[in-house]
Amino acid sequence: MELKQIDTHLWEIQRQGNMRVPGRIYASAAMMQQLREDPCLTQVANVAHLPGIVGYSLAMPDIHWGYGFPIGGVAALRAGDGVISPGGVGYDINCGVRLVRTGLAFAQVKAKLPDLVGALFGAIPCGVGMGGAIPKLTRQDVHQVLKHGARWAVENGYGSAPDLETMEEQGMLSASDPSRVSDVAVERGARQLGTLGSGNHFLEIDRVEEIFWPEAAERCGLQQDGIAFVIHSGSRGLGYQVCEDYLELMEKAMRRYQITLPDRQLACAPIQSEEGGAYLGAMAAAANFAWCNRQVMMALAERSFLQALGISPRQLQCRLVYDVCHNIAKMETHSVEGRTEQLCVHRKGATRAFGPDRPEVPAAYRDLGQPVLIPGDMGRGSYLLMGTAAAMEKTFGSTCHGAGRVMSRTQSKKVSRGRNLVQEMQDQGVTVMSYGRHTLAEEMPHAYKNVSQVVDVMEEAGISRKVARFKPIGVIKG
Amino acid sequence: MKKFEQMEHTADLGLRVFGRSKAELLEHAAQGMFSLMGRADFPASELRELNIEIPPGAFMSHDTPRTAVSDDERLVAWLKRLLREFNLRAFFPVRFQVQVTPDGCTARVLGGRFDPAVHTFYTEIKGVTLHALKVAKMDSGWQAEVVFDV
Repeated sequence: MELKQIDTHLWEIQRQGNMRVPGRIYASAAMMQQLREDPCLTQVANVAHLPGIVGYSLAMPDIHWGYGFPIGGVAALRAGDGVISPGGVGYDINCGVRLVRTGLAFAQVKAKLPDLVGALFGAIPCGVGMGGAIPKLTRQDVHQVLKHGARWAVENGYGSAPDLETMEEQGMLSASDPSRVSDVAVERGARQLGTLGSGNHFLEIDRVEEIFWPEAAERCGLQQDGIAFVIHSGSRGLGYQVCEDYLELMEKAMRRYQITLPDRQLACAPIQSEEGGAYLGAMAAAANFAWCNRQVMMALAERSFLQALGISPRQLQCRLVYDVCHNIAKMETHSVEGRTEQLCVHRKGATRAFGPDRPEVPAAYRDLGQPVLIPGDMGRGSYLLMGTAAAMEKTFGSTCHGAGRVMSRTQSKKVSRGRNLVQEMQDQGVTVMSYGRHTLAEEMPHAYKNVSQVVDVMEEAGISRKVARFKPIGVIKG
Repeated sequence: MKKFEQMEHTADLGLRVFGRSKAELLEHAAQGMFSLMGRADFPASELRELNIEIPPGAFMSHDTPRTAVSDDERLVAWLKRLLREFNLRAFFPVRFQVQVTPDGCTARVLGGRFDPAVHTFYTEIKGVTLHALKVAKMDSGWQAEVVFDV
């Protein structure tokens, strides 16, 4: 793939064939060297074929080969004549991350860490199809969750009302239309609220290792050596089923609207069509399920901290810093060539990173920018960033979402064979409990890019600013 | 003849599947998919039979019925149907007898209830993607490539 370097960390795939816009990838020269032969660059070009796309088909530095969209892909489609693609959101609708600060210092939890990790592993079901975190929901309950998102959790005793203030969209997309969600999807969701899932999902106890921007860190309630926890999960089987249902519908819609694209997984329909509207309603419902899921897990985690450490809520001082989604398509207003346009911004493995003064950013952070949570791998840790004004101009207010894989799961398992992975992580100061036989081997740090390098690219490009870095000390995985 | 092999894919899991006939291709694809998910051996007393027919009827309650007619659509519909049985009823299939029909397939499947406390779980499959999906007639039979979101 022929690439033109635009800036130190910005590369362009020029328009060719039926591409409607160029592709642009944020990456360091060293990252680009590794990416040159990777199928993910073709996927950036493929996305540029979508009707109604504006600006560029974008990719963040954690880009890697996905299906349809690359992971790390961002595309903004005009609301009036653009399309919406379930493949640009993914199966795990509103897969996302939340960061919770506590008032504890590392020294207070160090000795009890194995108990704490065990308590979390016992309270939050992990792994394939696992349910049972809370009593099974009725169909009516699920519909309420789909409609009200995280608010349902708060109203049912999981967390408190202030939590809602520091979530993207306050934990609820009002476009939700539960009637567009199939019975099968609802049935899959009924047992899975409050469960972590499998693959790269995790709950991680972190120690604040480094603070880069003291004012922002203080605003977020973070102190050097303080304890926080991060939850990475999504809409579980309900969201997967919505994606599956609508991919089928979109394939039919493509024929109906005579849209041809280079990858069937990009199947889409005009945003203003019956099919596009139905998917938007169902996707928003699944997104609400995901916010509610993370809210319930946060409350279960908080109870585990109290129980394992034998402390009171007053001593724990849990507070949600922020909750972001990184698999979503949302209607947003952006400036395009000097005009204000309503766009459907697809972020597939990319995070919203709005700059200061946007009304969507909670009042507590509005003068600084939107908090962005970037989980790394189990060993090297995670970052808290904030969005910038430059992000609004260059990436439709988007940044990276994680470290990004460099090694396939199969390869990672080969490299891990014969090793005691739990002990290796313990030697690095990380207590790990996992459910799946292969999960640890697939998710070891060697399978990922160095998250620090990914985050540095975004900061040096002016897209987001570093606030703090976290070092994992305890992890539970599916 | 090899039944299936894993294909390299950075984030997800891919399978290359082989079969002497279309029916065998479907059987081996199902075996391959479940070999990625876990391992479960059931005593004869715990095995139960599931009869599957593709096309499976309505897409959603407010939509029209669909049919799976092309070879790749049949493969995806078949795998999705089995995945659905696993996700809704923890049905983990171990033996398959597939018959291909012009608009889909019918199958007799033997399997048991997957119990995470007893059986071995490897990886959750979120979906059967259409990305790089291929079904082709080769000299030695049929070959398919399919990528799963995990």
